[in-house]
Amino acid sequence: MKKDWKQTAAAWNLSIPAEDLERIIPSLDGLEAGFRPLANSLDASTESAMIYKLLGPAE
Amino acid sequence: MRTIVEASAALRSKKVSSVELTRQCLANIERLEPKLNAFITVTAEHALNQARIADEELAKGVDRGPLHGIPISLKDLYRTKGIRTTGGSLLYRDMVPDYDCTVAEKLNAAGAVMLGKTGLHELAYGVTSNNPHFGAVKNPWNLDCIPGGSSGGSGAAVSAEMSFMSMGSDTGGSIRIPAAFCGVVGLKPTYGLVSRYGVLPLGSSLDHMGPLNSCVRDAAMTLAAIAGPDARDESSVARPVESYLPPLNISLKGLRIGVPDSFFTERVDPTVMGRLRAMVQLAAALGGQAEVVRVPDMAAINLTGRMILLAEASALMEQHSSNRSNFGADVLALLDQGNLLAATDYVNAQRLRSRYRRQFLDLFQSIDVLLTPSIPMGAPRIGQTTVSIDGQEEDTRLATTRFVRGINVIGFPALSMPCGFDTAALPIGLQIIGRPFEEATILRVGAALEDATDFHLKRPPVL
Repeated sequence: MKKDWKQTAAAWNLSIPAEDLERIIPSLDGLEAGFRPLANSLDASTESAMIYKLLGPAE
Repeated sequence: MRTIVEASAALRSKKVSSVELTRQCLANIERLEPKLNAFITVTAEHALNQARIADEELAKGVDRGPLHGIPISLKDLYRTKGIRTTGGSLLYRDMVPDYDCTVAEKLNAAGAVMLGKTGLHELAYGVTSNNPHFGAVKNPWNLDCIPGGSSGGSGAAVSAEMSFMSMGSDTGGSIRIPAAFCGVVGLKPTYGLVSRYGVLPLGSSLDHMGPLNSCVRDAAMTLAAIAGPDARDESSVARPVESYLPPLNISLKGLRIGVPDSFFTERVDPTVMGRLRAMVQLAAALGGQAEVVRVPDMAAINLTGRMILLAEASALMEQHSSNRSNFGADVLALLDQGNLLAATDYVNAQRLRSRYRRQFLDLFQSIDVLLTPSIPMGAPRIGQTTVSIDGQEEDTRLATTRFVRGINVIGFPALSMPCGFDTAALPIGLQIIGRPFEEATILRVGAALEDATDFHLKRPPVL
């Protein structure tokens, strides 16, 4: 399902002027169309590349 | 004299002094700056003082290494103590840091002479260096063309012999793009090898610090001066600094050279493709074993990189984004996009990144380096929003970053070096990608190819 960027901007209270929002929607739609299948292809065992490492005081 | 290799030898044989080298660069800056706009701040007095000290030290036998007495510059997002650091942005227009970033500290310790701070795309967030607040940086090979970005001032400064070396930063190609468009060498080291501490960030998990140089050996010398662990940078890796300097008379015998079967060979200007083939043939003639390899899904990796960068840059700028007049139109459009992304998408992009890093590590089990074009075409004109490549129209930013952005996602080292000229006589870059922390290998391949060609010796018309 296509994302409604105008609705998202309004719901998140982002102050993006209508004409600026209109201009970026094609780019966001393109990103969403390409990225969604990639995100959906992830399995639960795939960890983030950004892992929090807790080091002790001497490390 | 335009390389650190030459200048360093001349300083030690007393054929030239650091003050003379610095005056030569300052004269070029004075003559060419009105045409190129490569600098935001020139620190002439500071440079001459540092040069005098370098000459005194060298005369006394104090030798800080190959950068001692060499005039260099820094992209204007490296914090420099007491010297304005703008990030090419209104946000930092008057910022005078009270400390040096780690790279500036290391360059000072190496005895380098700081000529000033170079121009860049606003906040390093773009590829044109057409900065709405500080003006457009021009390409020394054609003043109507962009130098690339975001380290455009650094590319122009090295190409036009205003600076022997200039530090750039690379979040989605921002060292390699200006290197390719300006006909110089650009090195993006492995993520974590060079400290990011004190450099204005853009996308913290994608930002890499590296030099732009006149030749490959200069890049190796610079890397040795700036690499190394730094406790103040969370991403810094505890590895000892190596000697990255390639030897003379290099053979590539036994080296496995990967040539992509797809993506990097699609939608490429035919001249650029021809130069890639010629460089692969040259590498094979020097003893390398060229083999066609299947590369991971680079389009997917690029999408993942875009997702990560949009989210990280917008998060970083969130506190400033309510005042829209702080930003130029193109940067604002990217910040707006990032503000509309979900946190789950950012996390999933970082999970995808793990997958792609593994795939690249697998690929590099059968090869030592991967050769690709740096960019599919020569430099576009200033203000040109789309480019036509092999009959297809494409957004300038996306076309320019297509072959470089993905390498920031995986964090592998990559070098861009001159490998010819297009039909408009604009420089073309060859990208050499290596395994993590194997900078010495890509520099060796680069030096071997450079020794067998003369593209790096060509001088731009502006000179």
